[in-house]
This record gives sequence, structure tokens and C-alpha cells, in this order.
Amino acid sequence: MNLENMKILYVFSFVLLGLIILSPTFFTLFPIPKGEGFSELWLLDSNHLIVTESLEVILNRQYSIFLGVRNQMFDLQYYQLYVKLLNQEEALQEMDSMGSISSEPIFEYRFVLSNNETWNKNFTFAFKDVSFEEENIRKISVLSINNNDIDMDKILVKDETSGKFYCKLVFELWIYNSTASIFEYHNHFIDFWITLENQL
Amino acid sequence: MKKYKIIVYIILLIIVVACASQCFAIDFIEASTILEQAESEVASAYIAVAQAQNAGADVTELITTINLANDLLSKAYFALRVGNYEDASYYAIQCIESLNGVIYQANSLESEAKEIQDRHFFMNLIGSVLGLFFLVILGFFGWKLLKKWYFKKVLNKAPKLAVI
Repeated sequence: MNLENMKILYVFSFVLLGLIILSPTFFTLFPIPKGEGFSELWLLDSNHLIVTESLEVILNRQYSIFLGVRNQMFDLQYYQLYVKLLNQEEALQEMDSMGSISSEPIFEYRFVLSNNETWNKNFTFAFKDVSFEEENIRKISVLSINNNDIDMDKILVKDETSGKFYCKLVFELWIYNSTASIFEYHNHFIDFWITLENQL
Repeated sequence: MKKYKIIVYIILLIIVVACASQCFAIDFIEASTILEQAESEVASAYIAVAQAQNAGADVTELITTINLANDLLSKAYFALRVGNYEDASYYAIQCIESLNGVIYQANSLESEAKEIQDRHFFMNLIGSVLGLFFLVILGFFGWKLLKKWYFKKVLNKAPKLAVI
């Protein structure tokens, strides 16, 4: 190796060492961009498996599902999870609409999560009172969520093709916007169909 | 006659108690107002804790406190939905009380974390400047030594002249 090449190698190695020495200060002044954050929302059945089919329910029997939310937003986040119950007609109408469902929530969860932290909750529900209105109409009068009874008037119309009564439980994830000081819909939802037995 | 008087007094007492309970009963508007206050308290606490965490503070305990307050707030909203205004306001007040001191703690943790962060940055800066300074000195003298060693090596390799 001649002297010129050795000089280049020498200078290069010292520049590299210099950069290593400067790196802690540099990264404090110019932090690495965090990238795009996101949140995860999931729903599992009582066996901790993904809910793939509609759930056939029996009056007064308690059902259990597991809800989970994971924060991947890089910062502390304040979440709100709304639980909404829709009948078949409402559910089909809402399918076309963008954004959150206009129905009032029947239950809600609120929680703060750090980055990479997970929230899990066992959600129980039971149809306590479903009344016979007409041959093809039923009315949900009392629904129990986490052992809290809720009075309601949810009308279910029999589906002509299957001959069953359908309703849907929807879980919507909202996130707190500190700048606007309001909760905003986080464009995350998860739902599943519930089939009420014809004998009800 | 005395017997009737007692009965009348008892009836009056019942009426007074019933009226008083009605007067002090909480309605929807009152319950909603307390709930709004509770919600704003939780939001303020969350913002303070988020700022503290961004500054590098350990806010695990404060997050647990906020989540306990959130559970109470959810219960309060549920009670309001089912028309139980007494419970709604009770849970909302509990929620507000459970957050007592959270903002103050978050703020003090934030200033502590900022101080530590500033100190770390200052030490990093001094370390970098000193490191660079020594690197330049070392580089300069190192190069001189290397050059010297190189010439010595080259000269040793050069063919020696034979003395006749």
C-alpha cells in the first residue's frame, strides 16, 4: 500500500470514529422519524378463537367473548370502545355508510394505553327478555351486558330466507384527539352476527 | 285525640321526608354536568401524563390511576344511560376524587424527566466535543507516527549500495 492510499484509509477511519462519537448528540437533536402508528382491535370467542360464524343465542344464557386493543401509535393513547347493538335492517343500512355507526352505544369502555401495551377484557352478554310481538317480529326488551341489565326496545324482523332473527353487536374504537379535546372515530370496528332462535 | 295527633305528625313527617328526598334527587341535567366535569378531569389528567411520558418519565402508576378513574367514568355513563342518575353522579364524583393529585404528580415527574434529559444532552454534548477534540489530536499525531513508520519501512526495503 502506498502512502496516498494509507492516508485515505486513515482519514476515512477517523471520520467514521468522529461520526460514532457525534451520534448520541446528533440523534438527540434530530430524532429518527417514528413512522405511521396504528391500533389493533380484535374479538375472540370464549375459546380464544376468531369468531367466524354468527352466534346462535338462547334466552337467558350468558355468552362470553374476549376483546383486545393494542396501541402501536408510538405514544400514550386514550381510547374509547363503544358497544352498539343493531337489528338486521340497521346493520344492512350501516354497511354502506362510512364512519361510525349513528346508533347510540349501549355500553362503553375507556382506557389509556402506552405504546405496545395491550388491553384485554372479557365481555359477557345475555338476552334476558325477548318478547313475541307478531309471528315474524320479536322485541329485545332487556339485554344484560357484563351483568348489568339494559332496558331497550330493539325490534327484530324475521329474515325471510333463513327464517331466523338476526342482530349484530358492533365494537367501535374511538381515540382521543388532544388538540381538539374530543374523541374521534378511529376507523376501527369489529362486529359479529347474533342469531336468535325461532322459539324465542 | 292524642292518638290522632301522633298519626297526623307521622304522616306529616313522611310527607316532609318524601319531599326532601325529591328536592335533593339528582336529575339528568345535574348528573350530565357532573359527568362532563369528570370527563374533562380525566382528559386533563391524560394530557398531563402523556406529556410526562413524552419527556421520559415513568408514568406507569399514574396510568393505572387514570384507568381506574376511566372504569368509574364508564360506570357513570352506563348508569346515566339506564336512567340511574344517583349512581351516575356518584361514580362521576368518585372518578373526580380518584384523580386527585394526578396532574400535579405528572407535572412534577415531567419537570424531573426534563431535567434528567437536559443533563443527559449536556453530557452527550460535552462528551462529543471532547471526543472530537481528542480524536483530532490523536489523528494528527497518529498520522505523523504512521508516516514515520512507513518511511522507515520503505527505507529498510530499499537496496543498499555496496561500498567498493
